[in-house]
Amino acid sequence: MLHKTSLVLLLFLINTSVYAQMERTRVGSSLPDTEIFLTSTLVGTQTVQLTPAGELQSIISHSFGPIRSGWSDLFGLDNNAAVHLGLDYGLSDAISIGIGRTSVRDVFDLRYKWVPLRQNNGKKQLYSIGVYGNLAIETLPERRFDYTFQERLSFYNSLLFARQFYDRVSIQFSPSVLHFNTLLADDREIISHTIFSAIVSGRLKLNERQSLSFEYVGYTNMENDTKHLALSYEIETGGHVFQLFLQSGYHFSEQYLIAFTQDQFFNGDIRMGFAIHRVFQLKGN
Amino acid sequence: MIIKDKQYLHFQLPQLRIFFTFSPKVVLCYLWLFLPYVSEAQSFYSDEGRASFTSSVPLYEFTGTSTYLTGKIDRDHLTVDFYLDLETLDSGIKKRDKDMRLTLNTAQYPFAEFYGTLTDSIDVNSADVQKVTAKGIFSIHGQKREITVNGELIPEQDNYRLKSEFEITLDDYGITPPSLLIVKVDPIQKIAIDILLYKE
Repeated sequence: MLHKTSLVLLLFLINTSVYAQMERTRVGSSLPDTEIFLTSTLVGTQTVQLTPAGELQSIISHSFGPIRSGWSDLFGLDNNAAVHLGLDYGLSDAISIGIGRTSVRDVFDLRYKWVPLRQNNGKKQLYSIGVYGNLAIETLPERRFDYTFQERLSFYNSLLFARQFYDRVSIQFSPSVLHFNTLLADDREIISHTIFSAIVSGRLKLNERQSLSFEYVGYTNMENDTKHLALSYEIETGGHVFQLFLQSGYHFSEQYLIAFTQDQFFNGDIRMGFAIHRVFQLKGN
Repeated sequence: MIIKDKQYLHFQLPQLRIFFTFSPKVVLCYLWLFLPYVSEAQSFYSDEGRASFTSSVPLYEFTGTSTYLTGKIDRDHLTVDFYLDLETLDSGIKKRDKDMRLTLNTAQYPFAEFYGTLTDSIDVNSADVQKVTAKGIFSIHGQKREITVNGELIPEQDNYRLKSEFEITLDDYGITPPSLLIVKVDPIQKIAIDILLYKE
């Protein structure tokens, strides 16, 4: 026993007297949150991804006419484009706000996103949960009616549940409710001011720079509803994300996308489009 | 070979045969020999230093900063040991941080490290700023190079603040300078550290 104790003491002293390098330890808690999606907006719907704190993200999205028209209008490229311009700012690591404008129906939208739980492998947080909402105002002049400000408003709120699996596959489920203060009878055959829906989104990471994504309005409580589907190919550079997509919808605000999509993707009612996301640093580091 | 005396331990190494005596008296002798040696060693340590990596592209410069620089200086043996978890670098744009992590392959090589020795001793009685030079191995991206780094050691009460700036060439470490769209990042990377090392 004495021999062992002596040996331990001796080894300890010898070890102490050797000036070896420190043990290298990772700073686990500071590892970045998992990038479940490349962008905060997939095609027309929001992802659980936030605009990081202190960053301003600009989004320019274009959706063209139906490709089924063929060469006559260059597969929809000559046709009327829906254009969306957006700006989002990260107020903190958990909250972002934004403003956008879609050319179809001249819709302005104000939006917020709060994601208090964010998947982070360093912190052993396995999934992300957040809330997203927007308020949209349709500014298109209506010659038949004199709408008040309030009558032009619509709202969209949704929960966001998302997780990335095996560092490659991401899935998001977003139950939501939307409400239009005013609807015209010719907007839809059945007028429903309040609609419940569920959106499923996903991403397959091809490599660190490219991925394939989709968004699908999987459920609505509308009768005879037509469900929006979009497929997107995404390329990321250091500060940009470029998206090339095919979609059946024609709007860039969720409530319009859900309520007014009348084209069926698998009937060939597909539109090409693209989006450019660019981030700017507004805070010092 | 049989050793009957239990006061001996026998180490049979391939080419070395060493006998140690471990009687209590001898152990006390070891303690007597080693303890003063160990207790006199004075080191200074911190894991909250600031490190910045500055890259430049034409007409533009951006800096990745971390406040997790870990460092230790042994004043008596003049050893200098620093390392940084590269995934803690924050350039102000998360996408760019991700780009940097990919470029440096931090998943495989998470640390930038420097281990070396000071070329001159530290004047323990001086309250003035001392110019110091360290020679050692800098490693990043799994590649090692011997470098010489100059800095300033600033006494602050019982502690020392170390400031240093130096440059590395990314190509030397097998790092391909990234591109921001079509603009190539300069292969010269400026590194600056500022760390207040506390007496241990």
